[in-house]
Amino acid sequence: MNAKGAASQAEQGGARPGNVALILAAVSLACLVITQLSQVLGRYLFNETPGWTETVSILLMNSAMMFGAAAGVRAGAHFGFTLGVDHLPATLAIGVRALREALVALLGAALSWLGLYLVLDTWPVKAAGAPLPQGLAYAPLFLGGALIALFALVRGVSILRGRSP
Amino acid sequence: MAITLLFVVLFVLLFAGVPVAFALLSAAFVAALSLGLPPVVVAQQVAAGASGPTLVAIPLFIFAGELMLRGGISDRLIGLAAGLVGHLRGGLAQINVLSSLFFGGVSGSALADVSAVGGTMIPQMVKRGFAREFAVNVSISAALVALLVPPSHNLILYSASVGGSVSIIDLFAAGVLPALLMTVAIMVVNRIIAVRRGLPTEPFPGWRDVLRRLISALPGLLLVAIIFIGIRAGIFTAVESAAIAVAYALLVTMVIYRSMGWRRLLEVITAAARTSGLILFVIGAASAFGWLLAYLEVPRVTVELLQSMAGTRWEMLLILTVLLLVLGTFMDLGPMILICTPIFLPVARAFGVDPVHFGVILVLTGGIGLITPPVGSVLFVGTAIGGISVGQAVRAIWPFYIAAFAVVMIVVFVPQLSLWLPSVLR
Repeated sequence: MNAKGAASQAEQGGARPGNVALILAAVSLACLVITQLSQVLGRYLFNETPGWTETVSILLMNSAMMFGAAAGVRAGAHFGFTLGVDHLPATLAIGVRALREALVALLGAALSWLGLYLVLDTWPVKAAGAPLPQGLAYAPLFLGGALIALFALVRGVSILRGRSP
Repeated sequence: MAITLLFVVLFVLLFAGVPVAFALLSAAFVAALSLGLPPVVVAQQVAAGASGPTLVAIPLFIFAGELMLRGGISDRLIGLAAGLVGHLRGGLAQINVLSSLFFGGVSGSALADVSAVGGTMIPQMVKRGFAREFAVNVSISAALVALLVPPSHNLILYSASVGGSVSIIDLFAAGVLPALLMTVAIMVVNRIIAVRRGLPTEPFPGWRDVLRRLISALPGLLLVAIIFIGIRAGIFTAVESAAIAVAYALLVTMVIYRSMGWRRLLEVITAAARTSGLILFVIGAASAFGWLLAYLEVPRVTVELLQSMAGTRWEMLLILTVLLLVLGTFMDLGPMILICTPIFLPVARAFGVDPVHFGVILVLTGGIGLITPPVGSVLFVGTAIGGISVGQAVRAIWPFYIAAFAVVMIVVFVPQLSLWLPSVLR
């Protein structure tokens, strides 16, 4: 397979995980609403505030953050200031944009690797207030970081091929 | 050395167009490595920074705002504003400002405000013969109001950046009068420009029609009241109020207005999830950056430096205001709040400034950076909607800058403007 074919396959490969990232972020957000509402309902209907809501909310916040951020990388929606790059000569601008995506991919990979370390390191510890391992809170860092790296690489390849990602 | 590295890496990457969150993260990693710290502390801070209990309110209010926006509430709010102030000098420009105030009470975000209100009002203003630059400048200046109106995301962020030790509901109340002052200031500028240029007005629809529009928009306007009363009465916490806002927005858009079907709801929740992810990731990255600043004792050094420069509270406030205005032009508001609060709040406290008052000053002053180049996100969105360059907008914006600066000075030097309402509502 030539480089063009590989790149095209990589771009197509980025589409499905992109949707998955967005769906996971949306599900996390919906669950966050339910978690907070159940806190209020528990207090007034059952006269008891559930203790698990804070731990679960933190997990859901981390999921919404990392999967939403990954979906944002895929869509090129992260907020940045491109005025400096916009004034560069075309070839140089392509190089800078590709390097930018490479940096994002590197950071995503670093977050993923360090997230995995935190998952494994804190897994034996029980989370406060909920029957969950503490390490679960870092799982979104591991998975979302990997997706950020994947989407940034796909975008980088598109830029080098002269396509607007 | 590490401090220099932290800021040099940040600004070089920002200039190279690296997204803000990733520039902050890169700077944090580089500085941590230069200090011999394990890089895992940066990852830990990203996760911890974006999952503080107070911050849960931000994605939920984003979701509620998105529901209201796409569920037809913005059109009704604009309709009400048109009935109330459309007949004043400047017509559509005045409608634009009042709509921003109303919509700020639903979205709590300047960016959402300029997208929703500006997206509707700028094309209408241009069609009615208003200059594009004027239409854009009115919209982006008016969007500043949303920074201070409850449920302001930035005031929640400020509360989170001090570990929740400053009450969100006090901050919400503190922002109301400055927001009204900003609204009046921009409307006065509109009037002066309208008189000079002979800009058109809209016909007054009559009080019966205004009442009809008010009833139509009331479910949206009630959101702020529900939040205030619910928290103050102890029915729910500030964070829970955000979930209540989502439930209420679902009730309004799906049951009362019947403008939201299940398919649309899916679109709304995915849009809200993406926006939330982007914002939370910036917060996480800025938390890691801010943690390194604290590790390097930047807040302590700043307190000592400013104490040596300022003799009185007012001198210190003036110095801080100028610093925040300058920083605001180079930094986005969210990271700025997270980074500057731990540095400057101890200084303000040392001079006896109320942290609620300081929060309003920080958000308003930093918020002006959202409409100034080179990194004004609201300015960029407004000019994109208006189809003009940043340069075209900035050349004609100075009357609005003067008005905003005057409001900042009043807010800084009249603390009662921010502190009176929280004390009354307590």
